[in-house]
Amino acid sequence: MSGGGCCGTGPRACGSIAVGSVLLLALRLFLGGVLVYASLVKIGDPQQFAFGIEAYRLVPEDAKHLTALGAFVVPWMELIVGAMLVLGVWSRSAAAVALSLMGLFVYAVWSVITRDLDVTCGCFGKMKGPFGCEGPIGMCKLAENLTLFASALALVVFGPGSIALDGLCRRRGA
Amino acid sequence: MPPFEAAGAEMEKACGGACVCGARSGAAARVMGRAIIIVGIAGLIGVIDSARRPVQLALKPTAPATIRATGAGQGTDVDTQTDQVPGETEPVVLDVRITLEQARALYDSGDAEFIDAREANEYGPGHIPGAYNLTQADFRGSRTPDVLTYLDPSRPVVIYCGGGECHASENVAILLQQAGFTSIHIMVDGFPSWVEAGYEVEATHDESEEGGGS
Repeated sequence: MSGGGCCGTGPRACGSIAVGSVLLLALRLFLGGVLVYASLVKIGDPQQFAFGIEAYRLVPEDAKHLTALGAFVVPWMELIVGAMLVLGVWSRSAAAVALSLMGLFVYAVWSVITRDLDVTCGCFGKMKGPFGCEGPIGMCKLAENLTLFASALALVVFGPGSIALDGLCRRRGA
Repeated sequence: MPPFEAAGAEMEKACGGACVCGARSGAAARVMGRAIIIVGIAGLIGVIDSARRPVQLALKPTAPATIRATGAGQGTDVDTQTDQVPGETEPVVLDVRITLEQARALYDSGDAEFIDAREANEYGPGHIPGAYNLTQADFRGSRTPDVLTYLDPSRPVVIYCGGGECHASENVAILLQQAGFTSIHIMVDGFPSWVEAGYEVEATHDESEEGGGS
């Protein structure tokens, strides 16, 4: 769980930091960093993100209030989860939420591709995402989202590693 | 062994039972509980944020332009006033969404600005003469696009995109309304219908140019 790897005298008391923990740290920084950046773009311009959600045509026309709500809730969720992953706080829970979000995004992108819609993601504003995808949503964006999904899944399964605030725990009675 | 159980067993082994962190049992429940807390906090902040600065997903009522038929075939004229010209038919008050013919009447009158909401690479090869190119991306980051400095917000504007199911016109219309434009119309059939009707088309080869002028 999120407190995995904790030891009575801190993370180093378990021995040297394992390569696995370094890899998990890199994974956390990658996924958390991407989520934080994407969230700041969306929080800064919710109107554009709301248009983006509409363009996917997954929310019924008579449920625009859900689109409007999603335009605010999703970015804040990304920001909180991303920050928690970077810091390593409640990492497994944060990764579980990130996994759900990325699952939703993978479905949305896949649905756009199968319906042959001409939608530009706009997930990262005018910057490109980690895969440098350009133009309308296609297989590049799907691969990008699947990579992020796999990163979140790995963090849920293996935990944050010892280089995380989760790894610091109090000695009983201290 | 399931991952959570494995994590719990590893923890017990590493800590020799002296650790105050959670035990193996209930680890998954704790992860899920914390995940629900995270979602709840994000939802609460999102709801508060949405009340503070709501987004707009549909056009609010705008001041409609009117056209009046001259009674001779396609000859129509535009009238943004409510005055009726003696001897002519009743002015037609336009809906927000207008037909190709109504758009043409507005174009012929010269009393409306035309805005092409397609991407620059679509606008360049062909657009309605005098139409400005303005996409929703030009508003990104809450900045005001340069082209708006050339336009009078009180004049009628007609927005078009690729026609059919394109959302670009609607989105640009909403953004223009937020920018203070008061009379906004959308040519629903879009640019393809204009071309099919054989109306004149203008090309702009310099894609860095934002508008074709009025």
